Amino acid sequence: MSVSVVFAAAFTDRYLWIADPNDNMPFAWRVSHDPLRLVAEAFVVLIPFSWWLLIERTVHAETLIGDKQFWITRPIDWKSLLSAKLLFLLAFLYLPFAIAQCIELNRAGFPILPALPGLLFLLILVTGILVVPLLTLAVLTRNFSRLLLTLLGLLLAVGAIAYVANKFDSNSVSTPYSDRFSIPILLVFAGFAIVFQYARRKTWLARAVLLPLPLVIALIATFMPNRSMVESAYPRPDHLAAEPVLLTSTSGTFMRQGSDDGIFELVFPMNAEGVASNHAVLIDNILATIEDASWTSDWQAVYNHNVLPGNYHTELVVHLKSKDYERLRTAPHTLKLHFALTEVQAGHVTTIDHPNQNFSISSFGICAPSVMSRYFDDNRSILCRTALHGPDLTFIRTTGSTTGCDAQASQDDVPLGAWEGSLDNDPAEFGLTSVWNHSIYFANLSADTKVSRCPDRPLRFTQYTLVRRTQTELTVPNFRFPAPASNTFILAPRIP
Amino acid sequence: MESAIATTALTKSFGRETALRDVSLCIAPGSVFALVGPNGAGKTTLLKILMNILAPTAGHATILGLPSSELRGHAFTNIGYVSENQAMPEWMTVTRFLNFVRPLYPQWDRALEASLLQRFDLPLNRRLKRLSRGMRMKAAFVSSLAYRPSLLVLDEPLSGLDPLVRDQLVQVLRLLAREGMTILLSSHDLAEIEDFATHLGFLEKGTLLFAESIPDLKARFREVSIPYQSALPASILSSWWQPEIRDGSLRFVVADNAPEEIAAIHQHFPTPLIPRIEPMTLRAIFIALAQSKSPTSTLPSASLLPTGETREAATHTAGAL
Repeated sequence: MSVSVVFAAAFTDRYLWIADPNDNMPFAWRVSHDPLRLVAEAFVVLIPFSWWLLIERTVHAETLIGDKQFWITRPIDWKSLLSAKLLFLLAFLYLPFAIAQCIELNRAGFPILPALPGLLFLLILVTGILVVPLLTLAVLTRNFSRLLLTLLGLLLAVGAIAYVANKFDSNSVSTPYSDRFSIPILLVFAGFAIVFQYARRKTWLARAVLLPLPLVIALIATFMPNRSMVESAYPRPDHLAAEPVLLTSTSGTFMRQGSDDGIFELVFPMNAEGVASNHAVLIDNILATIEDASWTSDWQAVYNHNVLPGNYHTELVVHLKSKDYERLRTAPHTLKLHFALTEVQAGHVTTIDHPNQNFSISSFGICAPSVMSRYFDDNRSILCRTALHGPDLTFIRTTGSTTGCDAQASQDDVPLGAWEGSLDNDPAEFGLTSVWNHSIYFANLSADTKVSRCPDRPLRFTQYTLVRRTQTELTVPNFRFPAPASNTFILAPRIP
Repeated sequence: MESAIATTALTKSFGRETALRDVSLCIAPGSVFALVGPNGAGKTTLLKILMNILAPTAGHATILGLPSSELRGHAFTNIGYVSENQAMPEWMTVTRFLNFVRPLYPQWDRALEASLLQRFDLPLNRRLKRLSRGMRMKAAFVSSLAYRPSLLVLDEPLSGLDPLVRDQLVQVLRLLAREGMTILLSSHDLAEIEDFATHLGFLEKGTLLFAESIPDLKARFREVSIPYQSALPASILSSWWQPEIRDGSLRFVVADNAPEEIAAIHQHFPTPLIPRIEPMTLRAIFIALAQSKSPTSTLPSASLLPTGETREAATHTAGAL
């Protein structure tokens, strides 16, 4: 037990010691390229292992399974025993972790008091994702080796299920509440199994309590499939509401082999315009239907397609199975593309005129200009760190130059931009560190070429807030599926 | 007076194996009940069911008036359980172990603890895992006796101990029994318990063959021997157990030392055949009972030809005598 406590404390402390951001190295190096940082990250990985050891020892010191335990014929009340275990974990797992997070936040330059609600939420996430599952496994196993075997078995089973599920449905969707159910359901079932096992020590019954868990999750997946979640999160607009963006298809649609066998990618070149001033539209998901052939694709996530006011060209991809392609390619169809959109409005704007030093942006984080790294020229990016979660959705503008950055603006200046953050308003994201690092790379807004950021030019941070989530659709008459092109690759979607 | 322990048709199966079969037992408060039987007879299973470590497949038991299935937590403040199989917190020293258990019992008697420690001569600063088996058992005894439980359940507490340690433990048990503590202990060796047990039960292959007070047994059983040179007579009564011709005598056992039974013997063997009717040792009674494979309530109708397995088990159990 004492070894477990020492391990847990040591890994937490060691991480803090190595990850000290107040040393003399340039901030940018520490983020991704410094070897010490890599060592620190390795210690982060070891923290859950030390917790596992700690939880295992805590529970198995008075194991619940078997008929030779000393404590079961002593006047030890199960409620007191369970409370003592939880109190121990509070003192030797949660408290050191919380203190470590406070120290890390403080060293990274974030005030601790405003971060406390987020820190509490982080502890809840850690409880649901790490502590409770490990505690449940320990409560339902006899000793360390059984726990290890069970854990390995579960990991294999989860991997196998994920593999099979991916074979059946490889599409993911982006919704604001994709994973709101798993942790509460897990907490309810696992919590009941833990309490039941401590109260009754009927191991098979306690294990049976957990059996419905996969069933419930499967039922939720069945009754709340991607389609339902997207339809619920992105309601269809009434006819009077203005479209947040006007999407039109342009010529050049082509087909290519997807990354998975039996999947094709249908690539639609599109124009996007009509976004209201001071607004932006995020294209989150896409779905294709052909009513005359009774075919509908799944909703599929679209990444990094954020449209600002103006006229932009972009390419959107719909995945379809090869057997569907073979059925649909023979005749022209009326194709309908449905888009799940998020409309956002520009809010607070912060301009950093001389971004040569570290600077802080409220609701975003603490940033620093990138420096020449040991390994490659990284001066197109800026590096930011945020407390407990990613930044709020922000568009960052600056300028670069194709000919060299003068102090004054010139005709060779090129507008650069980058989206960072999300509309997710959870107070914390799950992680074993409370300081998140982000490398922000700028894209050329006027052409699909790489341009270096001018380090002395101002940076303009525009934060966006949610206006609405909605759907829009685009009808493509007489659409004929193109033949798959060979060796056609698109490196990355162009940011408008 | 309510029984300290009462079981009704207690049955326990592990898969297809039946470890206990319809065990009904009643142990009066203040008695020292010795449950004997060969290894694997079901003694430990019975004690574990009584202590709610195992759940019975059928039947029920009450311990100090409480159903055994509800025996947990606070109920153990008045019950002591010591088992040779029980895992102890072996990383603790004796002192730390006693410091750990002491607050669990409001009625803990520090004077008795000190007295037991002195009597047992336990090395207080040694970890339990570094103690010998006898010393570990002594530590378990101190932790289970110092709060003067009403009921003490001991699973093979004396097996494998050297005679000195065994004597020390027996002396303590005898003292506590005199103070009115109910003791239920199991043993596969009759010699271990006959000095201080007041009641005896014999368990074999999960079945309780008999359970009776030792004074009653001793008063009831008699061995009869009559000088007799020829073969076994044909007119042997069914109440005469284990009849045999040995050393020029007809010998048998009667399970009911009542005047009418003795009169029937005298009537059967008229003068000059003079029957010698003598008290029996506990070992002899035990073997006779075990071989009869009959509950005490129906002893007279018991089979006279016990199975070889029962004879072997009883002989093994009584072997130390």
